[in-house]
Amino acid sequence: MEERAIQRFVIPPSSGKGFLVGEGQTLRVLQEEGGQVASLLVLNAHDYKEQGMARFSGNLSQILGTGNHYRLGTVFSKVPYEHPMLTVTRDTVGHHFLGPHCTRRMMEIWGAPGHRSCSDNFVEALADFGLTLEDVYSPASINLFANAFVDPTGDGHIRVLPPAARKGDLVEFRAETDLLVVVSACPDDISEMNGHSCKSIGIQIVQ
Amino acid sequence: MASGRVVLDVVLPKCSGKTLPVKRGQTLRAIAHEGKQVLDLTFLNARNYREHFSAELSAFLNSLEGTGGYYRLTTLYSNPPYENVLATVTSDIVGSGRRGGDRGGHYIDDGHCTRRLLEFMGFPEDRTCSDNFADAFAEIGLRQEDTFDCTIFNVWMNSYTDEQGDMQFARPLVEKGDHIDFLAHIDLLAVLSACPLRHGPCNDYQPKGLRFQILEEIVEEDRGRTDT
Repeated sequence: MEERAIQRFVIPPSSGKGFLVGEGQTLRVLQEEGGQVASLLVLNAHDYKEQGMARFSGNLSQILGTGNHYRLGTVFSKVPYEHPMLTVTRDTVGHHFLGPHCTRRMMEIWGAPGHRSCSDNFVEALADFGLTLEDVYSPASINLFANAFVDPTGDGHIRVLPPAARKGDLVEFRAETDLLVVVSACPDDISEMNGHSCKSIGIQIVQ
Repeated sequence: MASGRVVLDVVLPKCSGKTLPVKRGQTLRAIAHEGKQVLDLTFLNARNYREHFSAELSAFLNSLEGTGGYYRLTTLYSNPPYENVLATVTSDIVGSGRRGGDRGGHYIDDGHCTRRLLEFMGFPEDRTCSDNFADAFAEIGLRQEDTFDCTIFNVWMNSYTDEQGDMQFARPLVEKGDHIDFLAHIDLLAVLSACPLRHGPCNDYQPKGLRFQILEEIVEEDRGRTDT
């Protein structure tokens, strides 16, 4: 079946954008240049209180045998809803990090107080829909292409490596309901997260 | 053990939830008085419920600060845009390694047991932490739709993520009578669930109750120690 493009656009480096994806449509998040993390928040377009979970979606996917904390399967919404919101249909990388996006306090600890963070990207993108950061399940996000790991032993430290994703890599999802998706092209050039340079992220919505 | 004046001493019956106000400067002590049992815990700013404990942020920031991670926490931070210190762990027998194991012995994550989880496990009728939290939030007039109770300090939950990204479960390291202390940095509302999960090793296959004390005037030289 031939696909019909609904929207194609690029999210410039260190910025965020919210957009609607209809039930049954396909969302693709693409590496325009390679080596760039895209942090996603997912909300029900008709009820913003229903929002996607990050790591817990990995737990549920693990029971279903479709994913886990690193391999993305299905994104479920938070309690009390717990409905499927997005299902991965194609993933050329296969490792992501379900956890916090970068924040003001992280930048302070990294010795870069005042540096732009995903929090800033989300604040601006959410404002287009009348939402604030307090309204969303932040900082838990689906950090696509983030090459981070949790130590299985000790205190469970987080280890961040530069992204393995190259230009053209992508993750493709099927929207299980009408969604508001908010994407941050992560502005962290301090840690290894984006290989010390911030790049753009491509978005395609097709039917 | 740090000594102080006990101003409240309550037992949370097994498989139930409740809220408990903890004022700035007071210490909330959780005691595994019946043995191996997980406490699912979150905190709200008592004056602004939109500010709440963030498991994800706390695990990451403690990891950067070298004071914890996904299996142990020293500093409990709130969600952005606040990112304030809500509480610090001032005594943690399991986290100090005194009960053995090769991990911190807790689990800091955006999840507690839920209806869907139990459905997928094949036990759709079982009570879950979601039910406990719904009851607890109802005490203060909040609905689960309006809260983020899924961001949780799973105290004494001995789980971890393996190298492949699969979550693994093990029996709690906590022994009968062990405690963990949280010093409140602002006026807080603690939201508590005695995890009702009876399948798997999380609660050693048998849900139990938990005991809580609120302490004041902790002897100063004991404060800040994490090994008593």
